[in-house]
Amino acid sequence: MKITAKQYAESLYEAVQNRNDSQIKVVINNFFSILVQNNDIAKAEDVVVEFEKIWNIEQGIIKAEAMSARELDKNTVKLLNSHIVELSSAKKVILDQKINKNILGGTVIKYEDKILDGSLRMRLSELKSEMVK
Amino acid sequence: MENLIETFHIDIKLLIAQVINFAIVFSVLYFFALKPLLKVMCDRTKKIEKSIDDAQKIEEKLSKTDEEYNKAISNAKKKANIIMEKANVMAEKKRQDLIKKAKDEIGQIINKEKEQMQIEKARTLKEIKKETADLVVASLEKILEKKMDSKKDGELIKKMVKK
Repeated sequence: MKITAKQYAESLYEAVQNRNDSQIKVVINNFFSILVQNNDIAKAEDVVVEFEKIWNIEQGIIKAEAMSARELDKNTVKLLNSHIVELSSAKKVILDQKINKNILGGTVIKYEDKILDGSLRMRLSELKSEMVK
Repeated sequence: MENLIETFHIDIKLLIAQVINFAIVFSVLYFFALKPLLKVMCDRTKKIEKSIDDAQKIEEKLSKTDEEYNKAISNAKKKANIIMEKANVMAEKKRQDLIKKAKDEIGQIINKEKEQMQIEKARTLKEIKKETADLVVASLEKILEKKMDSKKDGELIKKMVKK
C-alpha cells in the first residue's frame, strides 16, 4: 500500500509533538530512514510542504502576502500583521512582502483564500467604473 | 175584304204562289246563303272576339310584363344599390385599413428610428464617458506616480486598516 505525502506529514507531526529539540532530531532522522526504506525519498519535499501546512493549522499560523508599490516601513508591516491576525483569528501571521509598482499605492493582502485589495489601482478602477455607469 | 181585294187587284192564287215562291226562295237563300254566311259571320265574330280577347290578354301580359320588368329593374336597382353600398363600405373599410396599416408602419419605422437613435445616443454617451474616464484615470495615474511616496503609502495603508 502506498503512503501519501500527507499521511507521512501527519505521522511526522504526531511524532514530534511534545518533544524537546534533541528528541525531535532523532524523530526526524528516523523518519527519513523510513522514507528511504520505503523508497519514498522522492516524496520528501511534498512531505515537508504538507507538514508545514499541518503545523501552521495546528499552531494557528497563517501565511499571508502583502503586495505594495514600494518597500513598507516596519511600523506598517507590524500594523498589517496585526490587522491580518484580527481578520483571520490566527495566532501568528507569516507575512510575505512583494513589490509591484503597478498597484501605484496602498496594499493588496492575500491570505488563505481571501484577497483584500486596498490598492490605488483598485480605487482608480472603481472610479472608472463609476464614471462609465 | 172583297173590296180590299178588288181595290188592290189582289189575285189570291198568285199571292199564294208568290208566298210559296218566296218561301222556296227564302228557304234556298236561308240554307245556301244566309246560314253559311251567318255561320261565317259567327265564326268571324268569334275570331275577332278571340283576337280582341287575346289582344287584351297580350296587353295585360304586356302590362304585367312591364310591371314585372319595372319591378325587376327596381329590385335590380335596389340590389345594385345594396351591392354598391356594401362595396363602398368595404372599399372605405379597406381604405381605412390601408391607412391604419400605413400609419402603423410609419409609426413602427419612427419608433424603430427613435430606438436606434436612443441606442446610438447611449452608445456615444458611453464612449464619451469611457474616454473621459480613461483620460481622468490616466491623468490620476501620472499624478499618483509622481506624488506618492513611502510616507503617503504608509498613511494610506493605515487608513485602509482602520476601516
